[in-house]
Amino acid sequence: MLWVDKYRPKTLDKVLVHQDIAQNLKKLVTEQDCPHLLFYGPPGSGKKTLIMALLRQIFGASADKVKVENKNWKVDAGSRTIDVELTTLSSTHHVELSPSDAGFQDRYVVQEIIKEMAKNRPIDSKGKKGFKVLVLNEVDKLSREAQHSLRRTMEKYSASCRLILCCNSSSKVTEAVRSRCLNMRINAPTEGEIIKVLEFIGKKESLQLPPGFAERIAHQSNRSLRRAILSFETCRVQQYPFTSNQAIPPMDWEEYISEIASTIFKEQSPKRLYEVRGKLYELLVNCIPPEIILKRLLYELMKKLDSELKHEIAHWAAYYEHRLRLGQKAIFHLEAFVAKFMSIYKGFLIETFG
Amino acid sequence: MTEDAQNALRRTMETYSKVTRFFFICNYISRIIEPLASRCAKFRFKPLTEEIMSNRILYICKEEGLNLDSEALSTLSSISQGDLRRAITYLQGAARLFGSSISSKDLISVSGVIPEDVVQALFSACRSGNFDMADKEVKNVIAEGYPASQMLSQLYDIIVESDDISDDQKARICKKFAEADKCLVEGADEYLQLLDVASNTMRALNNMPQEYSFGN
Repeated sequence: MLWVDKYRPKTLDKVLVHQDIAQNLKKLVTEQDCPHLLFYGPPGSGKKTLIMALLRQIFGASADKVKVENKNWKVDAGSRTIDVELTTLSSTHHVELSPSDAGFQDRYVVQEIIKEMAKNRPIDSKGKKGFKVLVLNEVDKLSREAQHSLRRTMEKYSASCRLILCCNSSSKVTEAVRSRCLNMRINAPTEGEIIKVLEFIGKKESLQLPPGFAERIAHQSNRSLRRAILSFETCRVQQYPFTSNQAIPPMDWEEYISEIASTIFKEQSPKRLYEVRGKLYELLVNCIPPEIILKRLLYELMKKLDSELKHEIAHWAAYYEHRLRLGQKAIFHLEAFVAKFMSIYKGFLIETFG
Repeated sequence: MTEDAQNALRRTMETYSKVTRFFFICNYISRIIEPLASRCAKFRFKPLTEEIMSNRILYICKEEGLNLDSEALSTLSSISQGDLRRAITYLQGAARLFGSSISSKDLISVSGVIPEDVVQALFSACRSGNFDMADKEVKNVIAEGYPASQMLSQLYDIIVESDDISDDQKARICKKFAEADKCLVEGADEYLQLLDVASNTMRALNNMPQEYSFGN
């Protein structure tokens, strides 16, 4: 079992980061009146962990027994029927799904499937009418229409069903949905908190941590706890006992991008651009999301630039990333960014060095 | 409603005027087509004054047994921007999470408004003219999970209200804000957009050239 899963805190009392949020959540559910919740925060900040711990707090141990199901739905949409296939994760008390997986049909998922699930009202052990919890992932990736339909569903079935929404950025969730939920901002853990967690795991695994080692992992993780734990485990597999100057292996793709950056810096010519294109394709076919490539590339390029140029490059990165979202083919925009950078950089070189 | 729908409504209103009365509610009278507006008696609702709002809030607090100090009350009225429903929602959220005595910090954390010092930190980084500092602040904002659109609107408030920024500079900054806001709505990346805004604001505040021109 990966350490990320092994040391995921199971209850609200055991969480190491976001203790204040956990205590507030506990207070919230013990009063037996749970509103809809919206968790938002950057990846690797512990949203999912908190949600799972919260479910356990509400329903007890039975919330842990989840089964994965691949379900097919036939949705009747006026003149034709639409087949929707979705993977759900469910226990007796909750259902978890990512409606955005259905692509442009996400609206039907929200309208029909959630409605269907929300209608069945469970009865708890005391014979009282309980409520069911629906966990929806990646609500920020839902289309506008789907978010609007979600709003209706939330109101209509609020007696029998609580929604827990989970997303990265709350600005992509419409105001109407946001105002119906209790918003929980989950910030990324600070480096200090990450170090604390790493030391905790080290102690549990009875590992010797050389001084400064956890700090370096935390620093490289970009404040993502998941990444920190993963690279900690990678280090463990590579070499144990740890040495204090042991290199922390960067992710393959990050290394690859930094290679691309140095290629770009060496020479700015159409021939190089062609080479870079091949490398970008390589990254894309390995399922690295284009916006992540662009961001990382920007980061690598920024390292070696004058501040004057940084402004300009930051602007173009934002410009091409926006176009990338609107467009179809990512490679065009990535390559356009590289070409733009080359042209600016070359101009800069010619001006300064003649 | 679309203009077509409003036009269709016009006919319906006339045909059934004997048996049916219509009540329309809207946010902007300018978006109601003229023929429709002329058929109705208009009532304008002003935004609630701060006094009425705080009276209502205090009434709710008394009924629910909540403890709200005067600082929290003024915070509540400023973050809800004259919207009583929003104010009550925030109040309820805070009461659920933090119990019966509510401070202004609790209200801010419930409402999703970014604390003043975070916005000021980014603003002063922009003022300093140091790109790396601004980059660090932007990274921090994103890592803390503050929504970029909220950041934009609060930063905008600060910039428009400050007296030592010339109109010309303000115009330059606001233009970029508008562009970035549109990009964000279309789903662009928050970090990159915010960085672009910060860099542009910095250039405007420090009177650096807008475009980098090399040799031509």
